[in-house]
Amino acid sequence: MADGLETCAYCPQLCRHVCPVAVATGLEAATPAKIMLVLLLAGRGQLPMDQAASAAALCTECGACQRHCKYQMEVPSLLRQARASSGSPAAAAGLGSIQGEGELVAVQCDGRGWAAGLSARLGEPVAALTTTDHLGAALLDHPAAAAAHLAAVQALLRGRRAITGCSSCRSVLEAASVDLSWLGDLAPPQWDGPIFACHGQAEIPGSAIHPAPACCGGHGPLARVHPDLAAELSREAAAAFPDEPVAVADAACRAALRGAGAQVLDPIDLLLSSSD
Amino acid sequence: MSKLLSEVRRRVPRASADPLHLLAASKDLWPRDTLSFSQGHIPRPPEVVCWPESHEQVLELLRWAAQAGVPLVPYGAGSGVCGGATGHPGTIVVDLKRMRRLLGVDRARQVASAEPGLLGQILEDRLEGMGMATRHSPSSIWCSSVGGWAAARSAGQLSSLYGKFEDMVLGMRVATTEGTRLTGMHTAAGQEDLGPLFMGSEGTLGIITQVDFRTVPLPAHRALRGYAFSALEPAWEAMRAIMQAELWPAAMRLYCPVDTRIGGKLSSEKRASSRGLTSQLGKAALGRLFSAVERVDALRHRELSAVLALPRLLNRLAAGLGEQVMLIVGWEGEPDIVRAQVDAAAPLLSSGRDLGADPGEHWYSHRHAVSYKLSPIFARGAFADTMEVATTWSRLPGLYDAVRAALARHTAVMAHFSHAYPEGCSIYFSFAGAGDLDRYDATWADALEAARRAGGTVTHHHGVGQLKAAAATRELGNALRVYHERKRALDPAGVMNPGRLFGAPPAGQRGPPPPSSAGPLFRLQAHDLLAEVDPQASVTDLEQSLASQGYALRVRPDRPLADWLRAWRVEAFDRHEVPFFGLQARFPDGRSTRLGVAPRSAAGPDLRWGLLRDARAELVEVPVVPLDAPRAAVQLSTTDPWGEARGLLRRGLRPAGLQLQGISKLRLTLTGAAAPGLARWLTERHGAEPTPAEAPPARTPGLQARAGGSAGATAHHRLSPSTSEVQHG
Repeated sequence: MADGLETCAYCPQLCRHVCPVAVATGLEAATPAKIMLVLLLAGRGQLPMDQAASAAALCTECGACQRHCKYQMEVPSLLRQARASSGSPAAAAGLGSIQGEGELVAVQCDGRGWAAGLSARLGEPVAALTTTDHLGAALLDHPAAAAAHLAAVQALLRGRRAITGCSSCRSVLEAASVDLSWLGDLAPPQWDGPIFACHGQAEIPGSAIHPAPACCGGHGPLARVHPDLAAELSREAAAAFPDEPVAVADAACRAALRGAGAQVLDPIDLLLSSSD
Repeated sequence: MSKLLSEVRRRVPRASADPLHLLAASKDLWPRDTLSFSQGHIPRPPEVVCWPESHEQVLELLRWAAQAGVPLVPYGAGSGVCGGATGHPGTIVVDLKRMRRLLGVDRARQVASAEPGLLGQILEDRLEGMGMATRHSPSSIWCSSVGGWAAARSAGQLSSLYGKFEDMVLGMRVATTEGTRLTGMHTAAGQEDLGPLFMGSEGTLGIITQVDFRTVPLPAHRALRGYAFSALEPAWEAMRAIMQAELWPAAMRLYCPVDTRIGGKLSSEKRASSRGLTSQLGKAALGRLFSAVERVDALRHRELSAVLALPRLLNRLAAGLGEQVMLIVGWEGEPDIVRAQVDAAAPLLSSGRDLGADPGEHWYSHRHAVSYKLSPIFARGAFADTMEVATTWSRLPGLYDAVRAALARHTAVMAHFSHAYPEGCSIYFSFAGAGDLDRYDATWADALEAARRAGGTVTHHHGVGQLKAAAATRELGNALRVYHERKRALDPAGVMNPGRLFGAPPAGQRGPPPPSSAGPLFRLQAHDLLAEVDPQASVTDLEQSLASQGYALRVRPDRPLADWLRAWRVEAFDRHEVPFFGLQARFPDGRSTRLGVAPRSAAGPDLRWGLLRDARAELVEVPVVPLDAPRAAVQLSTTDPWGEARGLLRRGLRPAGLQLQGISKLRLTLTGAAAPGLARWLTERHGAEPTPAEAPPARTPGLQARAGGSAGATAHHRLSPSTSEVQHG
């Protein structure tokens, strides 16, 4: 890890222009190189660990820095490790239980119930699993603590297939090796307008991704630890759609952009109301 | 909350004393700081960091700071490599990255306006979406900001065509402790244009809050090629010939033998000549240094240190690699213009061997990624740095040898030559060494002194900061009186970025004596196409003296040079042309100074303009052209001659003269090797009519006309200082 930290810490900030946190907030401390410098110094005992934890949370895990880097430095992963070693895990809200019958389980994370609609759309029963903390996604920063939680997720969904439209929930389900479907893959919604997709993860098939905003700040440790800064990313992303509604596939992105005043359409609605 | 933070927040609400922010603002990209961090040293931080969001907030902060006596350090993207933007104890860092709006774009006029904190690549991406570009392409474009480009006189990799950023700037808004100052095209009539003073002032006079700059349409065509030369000398001659033939390549980069071989730029030659023990040893050692640094995981600390601990041996081995060098040269823009330039350049490149398009395209596609090589070196306890100097063609070999020798005593070194001008060129040294801060400091002290002694500027585009403050102070000598006088007016409290850029002006220096020879032509430096002339002489006398030597003024004034240059103004049109080179002037107290050792410099602001106002010019160095240089003239009939002229300039045409004739005719005078081809293009594609050129100045009787020239078809372009490029006919 130290090798990676040094390579980034001494880099002339060649990825700073692709980092949505550094660009939107204007904070010099939020560039990947400066974050890595703090982690390096904390690792040497020259800075307190609470500063390292704060710095390591200046990230949405969008991965733009890694994709841009000639060395493909795994910055999000290094920051995750740093967060694991510099702070204690947040308590998970608990998994709850699966409601209803069906092989498919709709993971509902944004306060809405859409399992019944999907069931009607697909013509087969769809069960529902409701979560208020994206299935405890924050625990992923702490591998030791996450192991038991992921085992519980796996046990809960054993023999069934989860369906989600949220990147954070998906990251937990993938880490738990649960059979998984991406909501947008089931059927393309009928929508010709702009679509916002963070990180290239939440694409809606059949539609072009709006190229302008890199990240809405809805995901990752930034939203959990520095919500005020995350809101600045949301405002920046929302400003790209001042006059028209935008379809947002990801639940956390939807919440962030709605909070920033964007007219957000839920592809779940588009999907459920589509006729084909 | 501290009282200081509270006071700052009253003017700039976004401010913090969080240790994370203070640490981040205490480091820019000065390699000395990176080396220091790598060795475990943490600098003492500033007191507060603030993020203003408007010109008004900056202004309020500066006024308060002056009253309170609190020093400020402006901070853009922190990409400076000379320690000019680092916060330190007692200071407030003014981080400008929340002022990052693209304020306006005028596609028709090809002008844009931006706030200082806008990052370079983001600006280019947004312009590209509109079919526009600055084509200011510094290798730092991913990590530098518009304000920094102006404040430190940045140069991009395509500067030979588009100029440095200072040449692109048309106007600025600057906040000072004494109020707002507008520059360039915004300068009020009768006022001194402070643009040249703020550009290069590195935050010591005020904070740039808006930059207006010219743009160009996205180039439609690019033609890049590589050429192998047997040694540096013939390659230098090819570069000089191309620039002096006014062919304006966008890129021209010559790699020294070490860079050529180690960088794998002549891979076929490398295989063919790798016989011989010296060559093989050199390749092995240098290869481990310069190539393995990219294999992050494979390179071990002791391997790199072992190689770098013996720089003299390493450099001797490098010398055994041979003398072959590679030149990359290329044009871009309007396809027909590019074709005419490429055709005209072909005979000038005939002493080189054409390597095809691959070397040029490879460089182009990787041109912003070279800095990735730095961090693995620091991560292994060594240091790497770069030094960019510049001078005239005449002094270039001496400058190269002197600085290279100085660096080679301490480090492994290689170089390339880029940013070429008709009068000279810049040299960019890259060097790496093992050791501590003492070795780093000794390396720089020797190299800077070598550059000064060899007659070069100590910085072409990296600026001064802390690293070169003493050297720049020595380089500018008595001319610093121009800067300090304006500093007293703009920052009387001395709170703007103290301790950076310049030291106190040297005391007791009389300066150079008046020219001893009789004017109006004191000296002709034909190799550099420069003439030292009497600025008080009449233009006619000057032309006759030059004509007697077979030369003419490249830029012809309409009154004596001293008066003409004092009245020169940057207009919203363009400023490709810097109408003079060197200047010697005498202050009222009898002390004198001489400026201009290189075509361009970043050793602080361009003080020549202020010197013209403060002192009596007694020698001016001006660009000249051979009387027999190819020339052509055409006339365009158009309902919008100004718009037509601007459009041609933005598409890469650099006519020596543009004249409005009446209200609907535009006359273009073209000089240089591509002039006939370009005139043909204008005639065939734009409906221009060939027109006779102006008569040349009378030759002194007894001189023979030169062979091969277009005798009798000479036209001097007449520039009026109040219209920059165009004179109403």
